[in-house]
Amino acid sequence: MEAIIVILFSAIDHTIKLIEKYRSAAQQSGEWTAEQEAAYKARRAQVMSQAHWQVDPDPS
Amino acid sequence: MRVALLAGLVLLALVNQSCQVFQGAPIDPGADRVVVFAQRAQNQALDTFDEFLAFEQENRALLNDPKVKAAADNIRMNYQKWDDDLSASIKTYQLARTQENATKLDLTLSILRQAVAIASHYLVTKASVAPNWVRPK
Repeated sequence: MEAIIVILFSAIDHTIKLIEKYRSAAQQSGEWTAEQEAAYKARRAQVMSQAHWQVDPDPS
Repeated sequence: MRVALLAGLVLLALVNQSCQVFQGAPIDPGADRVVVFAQRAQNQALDTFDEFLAFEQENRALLNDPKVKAAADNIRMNYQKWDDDLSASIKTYQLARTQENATKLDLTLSILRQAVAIASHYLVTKASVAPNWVRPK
């Protein structure tokens, strides 16, 4: 029973985090200006430079 | 009983929050909703993929599921192209706002959306594997 509750709350927590991220993006109300587009590209580059974005070679 | 009540309340709050989120902010007068929705999707995809890839990498041994790793690696290898293709489709549409270009944009967007759906699915359903996982800051 306790394990089920932990799993349930974990799933809810992940869902809430996703919703919070969607909420932030959903605030955009107009088309991007050139500066906003450049900021997005810079953010993308920064995010993609993290280690978890690199493909690990298959150990097998 | 108390726990079930608490879980019910949390779910209600979640549904309420979801409704607010999916409504989104109103579109500015003069702005094209096709473009705004596509650009919102770009931001959402980046955040969802970032969360999923961190989760997958840190819990790979626990997950022990080649399908999850394959889905994550597919994003790692192809996301930039999907996103660049979508940006190019948006630009083309902004230059000539025709139905044909809107359809092309929608097709490009659907590729990104499919990957987001898969990442979200794994992120939520696989939470049971590592229920205490918290992403390092």
